[in-house]
Amino acid sequence: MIELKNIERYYPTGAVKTYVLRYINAHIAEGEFVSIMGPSGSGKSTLLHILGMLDEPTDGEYWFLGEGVHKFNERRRTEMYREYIGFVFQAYHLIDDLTVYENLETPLMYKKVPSGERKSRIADILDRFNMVAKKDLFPNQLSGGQQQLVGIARALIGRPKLILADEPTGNLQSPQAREIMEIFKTLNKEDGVTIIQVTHSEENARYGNRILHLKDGRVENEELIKDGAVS
Amino acid sequence: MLSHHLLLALRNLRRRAFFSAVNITGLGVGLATCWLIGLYVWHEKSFDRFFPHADRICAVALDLKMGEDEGKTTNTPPPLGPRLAADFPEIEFAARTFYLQESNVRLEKPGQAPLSFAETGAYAADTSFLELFDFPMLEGDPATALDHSRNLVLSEKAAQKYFGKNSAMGQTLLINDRPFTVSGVAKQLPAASTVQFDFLVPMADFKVVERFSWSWIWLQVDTWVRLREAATPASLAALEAKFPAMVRKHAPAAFERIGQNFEEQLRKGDRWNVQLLTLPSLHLDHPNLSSRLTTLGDGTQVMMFGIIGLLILILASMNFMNLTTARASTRAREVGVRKALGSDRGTLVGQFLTESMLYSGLGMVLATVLAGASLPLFNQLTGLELGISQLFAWQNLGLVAGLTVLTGLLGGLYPAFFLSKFQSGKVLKTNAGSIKGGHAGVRNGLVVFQFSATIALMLCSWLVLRQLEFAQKSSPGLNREHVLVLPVLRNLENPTEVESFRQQIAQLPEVSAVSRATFLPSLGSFGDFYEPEQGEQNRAVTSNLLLSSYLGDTRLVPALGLDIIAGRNFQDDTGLGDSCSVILNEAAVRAIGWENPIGKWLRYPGNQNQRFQVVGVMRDFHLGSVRTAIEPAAIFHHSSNTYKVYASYLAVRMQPGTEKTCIEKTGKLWAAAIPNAPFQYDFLDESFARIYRSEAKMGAVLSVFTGLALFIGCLGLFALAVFTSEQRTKEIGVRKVLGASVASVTALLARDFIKLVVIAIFIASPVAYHFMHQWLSNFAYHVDIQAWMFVVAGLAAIIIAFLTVSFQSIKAALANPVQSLRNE
Repeated sequence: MIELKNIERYYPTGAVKTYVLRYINAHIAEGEFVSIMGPSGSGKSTLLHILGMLDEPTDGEYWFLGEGVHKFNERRRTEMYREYIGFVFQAYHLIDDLTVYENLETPLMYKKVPSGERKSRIADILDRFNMVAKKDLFPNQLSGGQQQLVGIARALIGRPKLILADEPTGNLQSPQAREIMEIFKTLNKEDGVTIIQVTHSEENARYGNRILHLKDGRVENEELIKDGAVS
Repeated sequence: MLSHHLLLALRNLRRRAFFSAVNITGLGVGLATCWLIGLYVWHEKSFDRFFPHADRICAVALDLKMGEDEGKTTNTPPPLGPRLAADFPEIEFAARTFYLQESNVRLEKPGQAPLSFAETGAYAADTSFLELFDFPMLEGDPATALDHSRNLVLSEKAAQKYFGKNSAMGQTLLINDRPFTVSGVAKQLPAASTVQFDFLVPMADFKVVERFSWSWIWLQVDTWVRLREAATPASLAALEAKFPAMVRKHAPAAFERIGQNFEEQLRKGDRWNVQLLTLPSLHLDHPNLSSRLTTLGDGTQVMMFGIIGLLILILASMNFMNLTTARASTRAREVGVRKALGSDRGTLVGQFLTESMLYSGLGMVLATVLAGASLPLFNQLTGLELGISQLFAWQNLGLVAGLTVLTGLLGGLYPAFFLSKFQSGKVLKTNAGSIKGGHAGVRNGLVVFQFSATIALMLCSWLVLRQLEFAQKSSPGLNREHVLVLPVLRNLENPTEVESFRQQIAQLPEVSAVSRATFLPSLGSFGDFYEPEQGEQNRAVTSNLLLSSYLGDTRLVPALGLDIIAGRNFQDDTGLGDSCSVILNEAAVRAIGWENPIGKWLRYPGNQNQRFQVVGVMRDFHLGSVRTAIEPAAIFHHSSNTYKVYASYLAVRMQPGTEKTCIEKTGKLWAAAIPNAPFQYDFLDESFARIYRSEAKMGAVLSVFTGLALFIGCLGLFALAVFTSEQRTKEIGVRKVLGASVASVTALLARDFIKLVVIAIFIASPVAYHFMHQWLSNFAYHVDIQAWMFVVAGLAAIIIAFLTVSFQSIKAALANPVQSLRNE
């Protein structure tokens, strides 16, 4: 599904280039659950943003479902967001002025899903996340964990093939974090959604099937996780 | 999607209530201003277009140069109209009107007190006048209504005033004691009509016009023509090209009669050209047209008001732009999220535009209220009489809807494109709280623009007001104050009656001098050519001189407070000894070139070479507006009989402080002496002030504009200050913890804004100087533009801006740092 070839990302600082990412080569197949780990400043968020087409590599090639992302224009990228990719952010990034219901509806509107189907899909997902009673509340009326649930629901509602999560539990208490990770795991297992997450937590990383360890902008090593490693 | 956008915009508006209020208030004020100004411009532009044959009707004008005197005028001589109609088949009709000045109109009622008013709308007109314009009539036939002697056509308003609901047809009204029978009632003319009248009587009943039917010099009638075909620039030019031959055929005899050789004058560079001014162009397109038509507009002023009105709206839109981009950091995250959720840029632009449209729409709602509420003030400023229904006439609503959309676009487009450009990757970085305000440069530029415009307006309106005060108050050589002016000619035709009335007033203890005069300064004068005699001096004097003159008696000098600087005033009460005396002003002496004017002689070729000896020289005073240089002027004695009077006034100098009792007593004397006419009076200083109506209007409108611009600018500045201090809360907290004082924090916050205002001062000053200089060049006498004005205006702007900003800055500086630092 994803093929990274010699991805580089650097910023010119004075005369010197400051590299954030160097020689990143990776292959991620459909149905995988990959965690990216590494110390602060190792470039993991940048890598995730590049994977999510929110940022562009300075060099290298990125192939997504057989297409060269480096050749995409903004319109094509927007189509990718609508059809294939869902984002989950550490800071949730719900739209403050919209209710839970409306936040969930927004991506569907961009996808031009007809109103009847929008209603039933939102009803489904609210039900699945046990949030029916919260649908008319605004984000600031919810706890962090609840907000992140909405964030995940919003990422899922467009039925993406790929979910990109940037420290999805970074701002949460551990019981809530565990709940979120369980959801991810279920999604991955039962719905076959490909998930790539950035995390600091070894425990969270182990929910996936593979860990990419980043250091100083390079992939230091890859670790395969055996199923059921977490318990 | 649109309803989604709207919903979001509404929530946003509610959540940021303060900024929304600022935006909507600013836009409301801007839109209301534009709306009202639009009405005014529309009214001015629509003048005379309602006439069915507007494109075929022309006012006849003269482009004249006679010696030093030159200019364009609609004042025409009596023979011109008939000649045009007779000589040129292209012209279907010609009609002349002769203004009857203020007239005493009376309705006798058997057994009751008569209904009597002094009327200013009375004209004698040729029989073809009504037909030429095709005035819609309520009663009577326009083709024949003025055909018979002593016919009278009333306006709808006049008919109602005198006859109420009863039909006026066949009724009799006395105009200056002569009976006229109503033969027609004209439908009320729209306010946007150059020609306005209340009473029309046949020209034939006014012999004076007939008496001057030979004269191409006596420019006392207005002439109108209707062409057979619609006028085009080419057809007019072709027609006008034929006029000089007509003038050269008929005018020389008339000039001969006053001792001038017309052909020779033309050879010396004089002009006497007949022109046709099309009706739709008449109101605005002929600046510097001298005319008896009091309804003419000022195209430059109309355009200027329009531009400034639009400028105010732009300033208001800038507030919106500024506040929206200032909040970019808050919105940036939303933009990033939406893009990541699959929104394309167009949708985002649509969302932001919906938002700005919502604001301008709400601004319009506010504008409706504001425009309705300020309509009386607006009417007072512009002299229009608009009602609420005109405010909401469909074409005006169209204008307003257009303005609203324009405002929405003006205020919304830049932020929409600016905000929708954000890259998700950049704004969604985990801790991306700090996108720096966004486009601070553009925002600063807008603030500088707003304040430049405001300061320039401030300077210009100040200058206009100073010049206005100068024009109204500064009066060397003439004491305008405490002079009561009584128009008497129409009411007392017999000179002995006037004299006895004069003497009665003179005996009042409150009165120090009363003089009878034909015309008075500010109320006109009569002009004629004189030939100064060389006398004993060697230096050659000018051979021919136009003098603006008054006929008066010995008391005119004290009554007007004139200043005789050489020689003497008239001496003899009877005037017999002074019938050949003249008092000249300094300008006349200078123009003639006499070294010793006293005792020199002037010849008047117009009246069998009558000779006048100079007995006195008076200090120069303004005969009228300070726009023109003081002209050579003269006072002749009544007994000289050099001029048949068409206007006559009593000038009454009152003891200061006794005006009220003096007017009461004069009124009683009037009632006894002139029982048939209502008591009328005026004041000389007010009559002078009226000359500057246009300047006064401009001063008032500019002041209002300045106030609005200042209000909008400060509103924007205040909101920006609020925003900045919100953004810098943390910084302020840190600085206070490090030991900064309230004063230093306030200064820190205010400094950035004050810097912008200072830049604005430097931009505004030369721009204002340019316009001020240009405007002042219209005046022969004017105040000077002085450096301290710029300093004062600049300081005022800084102080106002500082007060606006400091409130918020001090509030921020006083805040407890613990609270601002606790978050995060």
